[in-house]
Amino acid sequence: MAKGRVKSDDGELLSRARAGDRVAFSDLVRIHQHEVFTLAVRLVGDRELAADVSQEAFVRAWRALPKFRGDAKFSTWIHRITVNAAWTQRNKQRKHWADPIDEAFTEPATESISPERAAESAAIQERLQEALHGLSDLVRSVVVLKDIYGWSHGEVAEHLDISVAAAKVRLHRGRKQLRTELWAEMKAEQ
Amino acid sequence: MRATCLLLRSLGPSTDTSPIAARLEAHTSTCLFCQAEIARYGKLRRQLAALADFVEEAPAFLVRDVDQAISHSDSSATADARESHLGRVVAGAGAVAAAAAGAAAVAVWRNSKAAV
Repeated sequence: MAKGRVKSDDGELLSRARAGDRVAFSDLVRIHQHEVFTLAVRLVGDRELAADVSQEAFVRAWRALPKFRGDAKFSTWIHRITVNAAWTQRNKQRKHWADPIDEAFTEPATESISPERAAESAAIQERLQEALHGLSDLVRSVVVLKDIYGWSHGEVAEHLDISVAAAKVRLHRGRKQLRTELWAEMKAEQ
Repeated sequence: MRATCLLLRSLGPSTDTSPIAARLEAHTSTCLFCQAEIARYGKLRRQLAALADFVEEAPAFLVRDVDQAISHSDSSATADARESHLGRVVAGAGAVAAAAAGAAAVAVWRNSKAAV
């Protein structure tokens, strides 16, 4: 896992790319590839699939570039396209993407151990990533977009094609499951 | 543990948008268990938000593959446009030919009528 990189000014590259400059667009891809890939991995939970989703997202962006008005930052725009590309991929493979919304969550038996204390360390972030991968795809997508990328409930619901209420339910279930799993790990280490 | 605590626990961090938020807020202001629970969820959310600072290394082939996919997409689009243009030319020529044939037929009919 690498730390986030500082991006150069996208404006100049965007102007050239919108005029059809493929080299400029390649530079934009080079700059944003890691963050797009990271989002894709978090959404689909598989690096190989995430590479396909990232590629599809950039191709869609290239096609839609003449219509990009620049109201949002390029990174925000490409993130939205990535979510849509991931969701297209999800719908293609719907039978493999179970959404166990009614699955039972195991509650911790007591509240005596705090997983949050362990979360102070960098190691807990690795565990958090792993725990995220343990969520169902839809629940994980909601948690990733809301809690990691700071999207609103409305934006999450719109892009995932679910109701706002459904997004909230899945967010709550996701957080609860993460908390339970992290707690279980802590208990096992005691 | 009071019943309200269990209710809050089941609602978790979503309570801020619940219609019973005011009632829960009044309860949590005095309940240490609920305050601890909310604090735990708060920390979890901060840890999740912190993940935004970390990025995965994209595969080395991604930029190349995107370039190739765009080249393929563009050449397909150009070929489609060319086919579409050719189709329009053929259709246009057909229409002109049909119009000419019609005009000739009318002229022949008029000549034959005049002869009678």
